[in-house]
Amino acid sequence: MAKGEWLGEFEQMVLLAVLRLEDNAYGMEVRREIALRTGRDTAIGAVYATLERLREKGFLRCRDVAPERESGRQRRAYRVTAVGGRVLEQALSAISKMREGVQLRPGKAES
Amino acid sequence: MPPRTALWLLRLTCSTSDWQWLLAELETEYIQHMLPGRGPKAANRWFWSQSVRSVWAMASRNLREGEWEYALLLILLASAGPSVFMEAWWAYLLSLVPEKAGFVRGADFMVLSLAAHALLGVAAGTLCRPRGLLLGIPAAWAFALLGQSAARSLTAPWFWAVVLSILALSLCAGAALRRLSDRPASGRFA
Repeated sequence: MAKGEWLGEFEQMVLLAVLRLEDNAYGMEVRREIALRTGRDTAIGAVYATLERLREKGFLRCRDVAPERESGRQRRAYRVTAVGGRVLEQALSAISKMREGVQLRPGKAES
Repeated sequence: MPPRTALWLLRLTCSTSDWQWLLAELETEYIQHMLPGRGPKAANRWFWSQSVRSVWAMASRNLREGEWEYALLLILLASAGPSVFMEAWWAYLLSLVPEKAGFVRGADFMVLSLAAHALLGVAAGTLCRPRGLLLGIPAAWAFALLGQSAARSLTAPWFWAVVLSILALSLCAGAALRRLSDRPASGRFA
């Protein structure tokens, strides 16, 4: 994997959340999905900065969605690109390969 | 309506392009979920908390994505700022002393000035890419000499040699820190 294709832990979470949310992957929804599944309460700024960084790397693409209500604001929805999917798959598979046969809690047998 | 001060705080740290998307997310959540679900007080608290906690992420993104003007401005501050400030401080201290004969600056002034150059230099370096240093270091030297002449400071030549070296070294250290922080952290699969 090239240097620019490494994914941080939070970047992996964000990509997974975007994949889960499919067409509804807006910043706040991504934040809520991460909080719901991991209990990690992140700031919207951190989520947004990560989404944009991944988009700039070519791992996400975005579309600007017109507001539902007249007084609302245009929002940005994200989707994982083919490259993003491949990089995420490689990162997750590397983790699971490293995890194989490793006793996570010394002193207890791995379940 | 979300708290204006929180909006202002966040706006300070966002670029114009980021601001519209971030504001859309915050406002939508605030109006559609927080206000109806939790009431105005709790919704405002939530908005404040999100704004304050987003400041660091947005400020660092803004600085990283920033144009060369930010780096140049900080280089200017790092190189000329301490000389001008220390001269102004010394002039102020002298104005408080009735008998000025024999009243000279101690080494603490020099140490403070060098520390300010170094700290600001490291901060400026974190905004520079390695190639940017090729321009950044000569610019810092030029600004330092301009600052020296603007402050009309009569310091020894060796002190200026030290200042110029510290500026170059601290800019390089800042750029190296930036490269280190850009690398994936060891210990986690980044």
